[in-house]
Amino acid sequence: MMTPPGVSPSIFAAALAAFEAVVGKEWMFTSEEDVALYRDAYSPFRDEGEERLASAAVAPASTEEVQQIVRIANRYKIPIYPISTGKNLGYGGSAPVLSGSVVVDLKRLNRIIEVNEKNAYCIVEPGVSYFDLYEHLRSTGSKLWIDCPDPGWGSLLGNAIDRGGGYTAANYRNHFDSHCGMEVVLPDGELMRTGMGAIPAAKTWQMYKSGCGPWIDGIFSQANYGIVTKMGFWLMPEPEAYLRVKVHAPRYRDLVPLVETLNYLENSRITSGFPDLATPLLGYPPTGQVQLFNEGLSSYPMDERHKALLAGAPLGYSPELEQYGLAKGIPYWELWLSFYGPMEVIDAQWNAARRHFSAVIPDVRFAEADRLTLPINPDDAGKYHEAELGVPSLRAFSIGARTAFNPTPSHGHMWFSPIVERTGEAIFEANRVFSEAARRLDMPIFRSFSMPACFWERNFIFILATPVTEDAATNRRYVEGFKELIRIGGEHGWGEYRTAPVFQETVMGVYSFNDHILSKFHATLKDAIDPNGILAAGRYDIWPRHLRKARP
Amino acid sequence: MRTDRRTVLKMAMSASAACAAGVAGAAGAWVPAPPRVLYDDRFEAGRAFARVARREGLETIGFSGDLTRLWRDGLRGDWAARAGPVIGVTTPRAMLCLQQLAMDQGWRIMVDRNARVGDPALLRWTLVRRRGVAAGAA
Repeated sequence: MMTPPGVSPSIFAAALAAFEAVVGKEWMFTSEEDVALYRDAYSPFRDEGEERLASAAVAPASTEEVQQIVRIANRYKIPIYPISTGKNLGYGGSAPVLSGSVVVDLKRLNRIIEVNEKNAYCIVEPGVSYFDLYEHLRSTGSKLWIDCPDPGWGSLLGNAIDRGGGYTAANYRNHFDSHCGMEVVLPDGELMRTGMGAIPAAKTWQMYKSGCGPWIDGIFSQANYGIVTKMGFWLMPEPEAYLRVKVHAPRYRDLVPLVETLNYLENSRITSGFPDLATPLLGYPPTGQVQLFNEGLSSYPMDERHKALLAGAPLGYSPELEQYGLAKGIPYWELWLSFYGPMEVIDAQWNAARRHFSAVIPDVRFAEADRLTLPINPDDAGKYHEAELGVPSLRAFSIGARTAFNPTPSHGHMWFSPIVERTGEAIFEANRVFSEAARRLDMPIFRSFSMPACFWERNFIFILATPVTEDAATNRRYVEGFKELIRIGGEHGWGEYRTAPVFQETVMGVYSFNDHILSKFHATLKDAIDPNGILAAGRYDIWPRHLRKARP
Repeated sequence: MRTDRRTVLKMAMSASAACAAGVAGAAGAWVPAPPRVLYDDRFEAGRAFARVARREGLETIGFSGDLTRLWRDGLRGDWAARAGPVIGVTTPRAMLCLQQLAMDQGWRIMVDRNARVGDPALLRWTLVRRRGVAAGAA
């Protein structure tokens, strides 16, 4: 059995026995076959020396058991690595950053503590998945929606503290921003509640985020300063109706006013649903429709002349291509907008949106895609992108069949996901910079014009899958190329929003203002809060003092 | 690899045996039900495997890529209720998805990476109980 670095087999055995005394033999996992389940299924270093591996796993059933495990870890100086449901594939999965760590699997903390219908919030434990909450709400007749990512199998809490996102209205899509109140087991085993929850008789824990004094919830996301065992979330009341529309802009330079107008409409709350940018002329689908393209249910058809022109416009533009699009009526840009609310309000918002686009984009065209009275029959959800209707799905895993859009399905992926400015010019610039770099590095992303996603307000995020192959040398090359793209992004002022353990050091290295003062501050906090360095060592490059100089 | 009667029966026998072995340590005597065959019906190779399995009396369940309803309305409850093993003929992505979901309910997937089923996009695998984990525990 692997042991944690610097821990003798006898000490480790004693620690495991102590863990087992807390959770019972059934929930202490030490066999090779059980521990293997905590490997990162998408690791680019599968079976290589660099693969991050757990030594064991322990699955507590309550916050009290989590506290006991943390105290035992301190007593024996055992590195532990908490996971909620461990489903963040592409960003590391269940595997620890520091090989030899004991995974603390929180899936048994799966209680929905409260759903407050009138004030539209819930409190959940880490093992509650989007499916669990969705089914709970439906079975109890609740009129509240969830906001879930693709796929919807993960933990609400885990996704939020990893700063994931979803697809419904803007103030629910950013899952960390939509949380309100935490309960945290600190690295010494003490239990803390944040925000208004720090008042013992709190009545507004899920109604006012910050309480009084420093608001510290942020240090428990993408970090290793505590184990979050309860978290509140604001939920969206089920809207009366949903409208999904398309805005078509015909010319290359139209992207600039298209984005400016989108920003105005979003920032003015004229549109609140997930905006989705695509380009029919360049063949890049909207983020929310990728699944339909993968399944062959949707496509941007191209004839041979179109394909030839596209091949001659690697950065997405040539006068001939633009003329071809104009002549054939193929939009350069396609912006999908969605609206939630009473239909009479939606129609007014859509009218206002059309007026604003028409004022700045010559020959702009509009089309309605879906006009739904809610709730829809759950059996019909599959006709749409379910997540935009608050319905979790596993559909993302239907990728794997060869389709025209996806001729060579991969064995996994690593998400390259830099945040860039919310402007049309930034989309052009990011494509120019990353495309040139990707060609030089022979990386399989940014080889054609790529579009960013609009998960968050106020910025764009490119989310591009770098494939994991069955060839170790290719994977190694992709990892190095990925790191170089991160560094190049940093030179242009762009940084990743989230990343897998193998890239966390490189990503945090980009956040280097004033001689890496941010990372130094993280280290100062780590030393103060977790002096034994037991908790999630290395997560987002925050290492305990004894491992800081020679990162494993 | 061609799908024939011998292959299906061999997989069924080994799935049942592995499942029984996985349960024995924790839950005492338990005879698992015959394995069911889960196949991706978008692929001819998947459909061919299912045809052979049906001829051998095994229950088959087809799906078209999206596992959502199959898992939500069937497999999740079956696994919690200690139903029998499953033989799968799916894409690696679908297998990975089920592997992760099965893990939470005390099952694990054994995959023979060399066992192709006539289409390079498909894998053959067997889902059995994890040794020592009680049924329905998660």
